[in-house]
Amino acid sequence: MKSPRELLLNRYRDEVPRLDRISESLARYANGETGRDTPAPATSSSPSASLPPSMRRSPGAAWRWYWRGLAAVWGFILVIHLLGAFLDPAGGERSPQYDPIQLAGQEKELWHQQWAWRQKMIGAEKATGPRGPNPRHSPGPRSALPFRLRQHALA
Amino acid sequence: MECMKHFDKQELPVAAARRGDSAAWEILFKRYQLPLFTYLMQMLRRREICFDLVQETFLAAIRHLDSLRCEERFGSWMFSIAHQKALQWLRRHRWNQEESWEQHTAERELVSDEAGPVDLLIQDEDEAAFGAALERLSGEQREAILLYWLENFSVAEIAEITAVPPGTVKSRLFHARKNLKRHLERVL
Repeated sequence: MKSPRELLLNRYRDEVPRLDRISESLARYANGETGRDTPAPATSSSPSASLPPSMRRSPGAAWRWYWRGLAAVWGFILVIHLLGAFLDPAGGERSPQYDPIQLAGQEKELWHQQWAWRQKMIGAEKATGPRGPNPRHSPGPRSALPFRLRQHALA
Repeated sequence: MECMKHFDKQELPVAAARRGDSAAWEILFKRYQLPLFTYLMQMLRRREICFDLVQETFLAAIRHLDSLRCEERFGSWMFSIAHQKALQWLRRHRWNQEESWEQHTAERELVSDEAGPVDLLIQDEDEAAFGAALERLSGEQREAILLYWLENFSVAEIAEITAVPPGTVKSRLFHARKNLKRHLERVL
């Protein structure tokens, strides 16, 4: 005669070795996890070393994420920088033809011509006012009526 | 619920486990590994999943042992973790049970007081019939009777583990016994 408890437990007795392994590895893990003052076992470098990778929990995980984030930000900045250098090789500097100090001879003369022309254009604009929008591109006078009323008026 | 002595008078090294004693943890785990696995197997019937859930239960116990106020209730605490893990797994996988676990919550019949933990003694040759009869119980009834048989938890403890009122637990135990008896009588 057996009690229901024995009967139930006996059904899974074959699984005990595997359960033992789980218990032993978790007991080792618990030693590192709960007993901060007790030394870690010499066989494992980390308290969670005996656990499967999906269950490992390292105290340095937050720091690892911090460094990863920092590396990602700097990587992004570097990529943007390189991309800018590739797309704009001049690096945003003014073309030497606009720098009168470094220019000489014919180039200097050309620059002065351009400068005089620009001054002339600026003066002309000041005198006559801004040119305003191109009439060909202008949408034309707008009706004060809302769209629906306009449609109605047209009908 | 106030602290109460467990029927199993064996002193469990919970205090040592709190200090991180791996030997104490091993004793605790080995004490509960098979009952927990049996409970989960009876509820989920998926071997690999049950191994995972036993492992997760132990891990949760390691991480949250500080929240356990009453050391005598370590067993019911472990089972309540396992129960929650099983429910989470069921919710995640939308397990399709034949009967809802809430089916019998309205019933309020009381369990007879004279029924003890070994109120049902079964012959070796009837093991298969016992297993089959157990399978035919609803999830809630099986859960209640398993907790009662495996660890001899009180009605209050089972109520706490399964998060239902004690009256519901009594009702489930009563119906589980009645149905088991009926199934076994039919078979034997």
